[in-house]
Amino acid sequence: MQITESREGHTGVMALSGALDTMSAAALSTQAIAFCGDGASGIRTLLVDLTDVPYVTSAGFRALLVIRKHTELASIGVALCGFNEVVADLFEASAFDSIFAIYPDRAAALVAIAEPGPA
Amino acid sequence: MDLAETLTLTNEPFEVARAAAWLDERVSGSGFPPRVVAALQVALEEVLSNILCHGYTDLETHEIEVRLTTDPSAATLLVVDDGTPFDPAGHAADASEETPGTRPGGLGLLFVRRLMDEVTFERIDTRNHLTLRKFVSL
Repeated sequence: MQITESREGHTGVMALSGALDTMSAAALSTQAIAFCGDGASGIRTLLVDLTDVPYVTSAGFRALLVIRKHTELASIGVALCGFNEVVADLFEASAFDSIFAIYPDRAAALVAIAEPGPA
Repeated sequence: MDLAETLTLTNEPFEVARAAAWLDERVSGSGFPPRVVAALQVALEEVLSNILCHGYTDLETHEIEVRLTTDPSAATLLVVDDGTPFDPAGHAADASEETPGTRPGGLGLLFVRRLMDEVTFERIDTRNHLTLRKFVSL
């Protein structure tokens, strides 16, 4: 699996390409934690783009949890986008869709992240 | 094109990658929809990972057999191992009532049941025979 990092203002984007499985999960969590840092990076939200991910196994879900735990400590938000049918189904089955902000695509995610919260 | 192929692997973590590549080579160009291919890939990894994590109480090398059969209507994976008896029906399936993330170890089984249309288990002699079938909707 390949990971491409980019910045959109205060949002750090990691675009994944390939399966998020037991072979790639550890690399994702390690790289995401390094990318976000402890907040000094200026990233306020990490957006993980799964548009080019054909499937995610339970190892991938565990890696996303590890990332979320780290980012929470650094007061960084996490959002996910670009699920295909199978990935969306597993997020629903596991109820992980209740603990992550999920958007249909990167554009929608970036708009939502950029919007100021309620007063 | 109908397939009937068998892969023999050992209970080593790197073998999961080899099994994934083997399966990918055989189903990616099969004409099955991507969602069917993805479902098979997830199910195979979850089953093999469970066997490697929970199937053995020794440090010996064990063989695991994966048999893939396909026809235009379905793809079937039969996984045979000589590990400790493991009937998936005997394990809790529904993680949705629990706090998400509190039982990550049970996710694999949940995913297999969610994605496969049929999951059947038999204990024959000293081996677990787990059959996973995914139908291809027309």
